[in-house]
Formats: sequence, C-alpha cells, structure tokens
Amino acid sequence: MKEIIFPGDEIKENTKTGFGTYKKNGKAYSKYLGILYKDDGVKVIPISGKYVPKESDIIVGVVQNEDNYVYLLDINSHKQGVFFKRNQTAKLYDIYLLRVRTVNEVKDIDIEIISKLTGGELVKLNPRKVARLIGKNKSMQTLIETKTDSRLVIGLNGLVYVIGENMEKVKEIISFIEEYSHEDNLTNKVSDVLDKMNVKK
Amino acid sequence: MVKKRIDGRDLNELRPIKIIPSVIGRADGSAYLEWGHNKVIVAVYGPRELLPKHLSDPTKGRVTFTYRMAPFSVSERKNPKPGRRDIEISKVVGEALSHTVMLEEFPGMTVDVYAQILDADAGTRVSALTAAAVALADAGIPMKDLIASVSVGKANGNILADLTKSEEDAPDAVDMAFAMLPNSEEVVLLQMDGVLSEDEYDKAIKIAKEKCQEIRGMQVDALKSKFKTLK
Repeated sequence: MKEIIFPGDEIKENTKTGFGTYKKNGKAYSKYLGILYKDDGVKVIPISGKYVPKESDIIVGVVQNEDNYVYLLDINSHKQGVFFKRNQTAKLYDIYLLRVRTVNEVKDIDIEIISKLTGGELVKLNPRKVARLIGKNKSMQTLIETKTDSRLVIGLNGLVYVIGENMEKVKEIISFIEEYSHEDNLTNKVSDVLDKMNVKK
Repeated sequence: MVKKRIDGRDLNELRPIKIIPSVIGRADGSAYLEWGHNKVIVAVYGPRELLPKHLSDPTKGRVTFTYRMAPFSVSERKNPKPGRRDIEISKVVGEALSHTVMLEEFPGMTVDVYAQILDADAGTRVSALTAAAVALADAGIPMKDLIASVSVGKANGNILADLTKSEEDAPDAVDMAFAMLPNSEEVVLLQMDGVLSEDEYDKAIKIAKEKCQEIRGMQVDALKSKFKTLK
C-alpha cells in the first residue's frame, strides 16, 4: 500500500515540494488527506475533491442548460462550462469532448469543442483518480480497452465516455480502480480482475 | 484515594469517541460522530460557486457552518426554528473552520458545512467541530491541519475534561469549549461560561491541549478506515 498522509502532517523529506503541500517556518506540511508520492520531489494527491481546470486539459462535458445566447455544460467542476450558440448548435444532454483553452484567476474557464461524442455511454468517476485510470503511458487504459473490447474517451474532469458492448464490465472495473487506487501495482491487479471476469462469462 | 466521576471516568478522561467518515452519499464529504451520548452528523458541500455574486470575494473563498439541533435531541422538545444559540454556534465554529481551510485556493466560491445534532449530552459544539474537520478532509478540501476540539471545565471544585450534562449542572460549574490546530497549537475557538482562577485556567488549558492531540489521533484513525486493503 502507498503512504497515506493527513492534513497538517509534516513531510520529512528534504526535497523539492510540489502539489498538495504548503510551507511554514521552513517545514513542509500536507494540505490534503491523500497519498504521498516521492518521485522527483514530493507531492500529495488528494483522495477526493472536484476537478480543478488547467490549461490545455482534455475534458468531457454534458449540455445541461441553455439560454438565448449560450449553452451551459456540466464539467464536473466548481463552475459550468460555456459555449456560444452562434458557433455551435446543440441539444440538451449532448456530450462533447472539449479542450480547456484558458483559466483565469477566479477559475473561470474558456473551452473549445474538439468533437461531439455519440454511440456510447457516460461513466462518472472521482476526478482525482483519473490519472490511475489512464496509467503510465496509457498502460491501464490500453489494458482495459483490449480486455473488454471497448474504447474509452477519458476526460481529465472524471467523465469517461465508453464506446463498446461490455458496458457493465467497464463500469465494474472503473469502480474497482476508484476503490483501490492507493494500492501498489494496480495494473497487474486490474488485469487479474479482468481475467476473472472474462472466465465468468 | 483516586477521585472518580459519576460515570466512573478519571478527572481528565474523555468519553468514548467513535467517528465514521463518508456516511452521506450525495455530499462531497461527510462524517458521523458519537461522543459519549452525543450524536452528530456532518455533511460538506463544495467548493461551489457562491451566489448571489455580490457576496463573493474574488481574492478568497468562504466557509459557512450551520449548526442545528434536532427537536428530539434534548429531553424537552427543542423548537426546530434556529434560536440565538444555534446562530451563535454556527458563527463561532464557522470562524474556527476558516482558520484551517485554505480559502485563497478557491476564490469566489463557498464551502458549506452542515451539522445536525441528533442526541445531545453537553459538548455538542466541540463534537460538531471535530466531526466537521473529518468531513472536510473527506471532501478533499485543502486545510492547514485537522482541527481537534474538546470541552474542559470545573465541577465540584475539580478541573475536568469533557463534561457531561449532569456535571455542567453543578452549582460551581464552568464550561469551556476549546479548539486548536494540533500541530501549531494555534487556538481557534475558546469560549467560557463561569469563573476560573488564573491557576485553574492554566490547568484547564493544559488538559485541553493534551486532549486535542489525543483527539487528532482518533480523527486520523477514522480517516484511515477509508482506505480498503485488497485481499
């Protein structure tokens, strides 16, 4: 199991401190309840929380509301995404693949549409665990895609668009990753679980 | 002879505490706490956009705390309408939380914390604050530390930790709600009813600080239970 850290815990390592830490009187502390990573400086990845937009992130959004000029999109974050009607016409509950163009000081975002997503289903997951679903060099994503014979379009905001037949299997494996994201060697464990599922069928 | 209290505890012994994180599915973070006979449920929503817009501050966020007692939580029915006491506790506990939550990380947004007291036996504000710290950590809100909180006081001439209702009803009773950030020992809540001498006050604060460290350990243990191990 990876090292768990709590808000206010002191980080003893004398290396460069990164995300999820703060400094006080020359000592480093954790900001979040999360997991401590030590490669290339220390950082703390929280176990929960909302998606915080960053520039050039690829995300998935659902049209939730509209007014005379704009569509408002649910992007699983603090604020809604917005695009103008004059650029694109959409229907309610349409799903889009988007890119975050800019983020300002008060976390308002400007998005651009990459494409509309059709023929699949949307699965939600904790945005802090998306990195585990993708894996190093997309290892986890490729594993799931090949073993369940489906395609995953992963938004960094925790919305995953799944295209394929084995929807139930993909949902099950995503919730497995969410639950055990603090385990070491997760890719091998997921591979075992997927093999078991395939045998059951 | 060693002095014991009505319920058989030592003078500075806490009542049994049980904390369970993540009990409300719809909330971003939540916790349930049992502290002796006290039962509290706390839910955290946010950070979310603060509306109406004129209340929001573009330089920092806001944390609000809502303390409510259930009508059945006390021996005589409590009017569910928020009274002076509920409003005061909501204010002081909310201010205590704003000392630990890193508000500058979510400008123009709000984090709402709701605490409902299901059963009350003295020390409900400190139970609510202790549970709120766990719920905030569960919600992934950036914080300086886990706030730990305890009540200390005096009854029948003895300085006691964690008073019950019957001890608070003693003729010379003093009740002091105390909360601090355990790492830096920064005091974030201090309220006192009654009169203490200087020595008694120092003694009470010393006990409170010790007990807060103990409570932080319990909060950490509770949060550890969120991480399941794979068989």
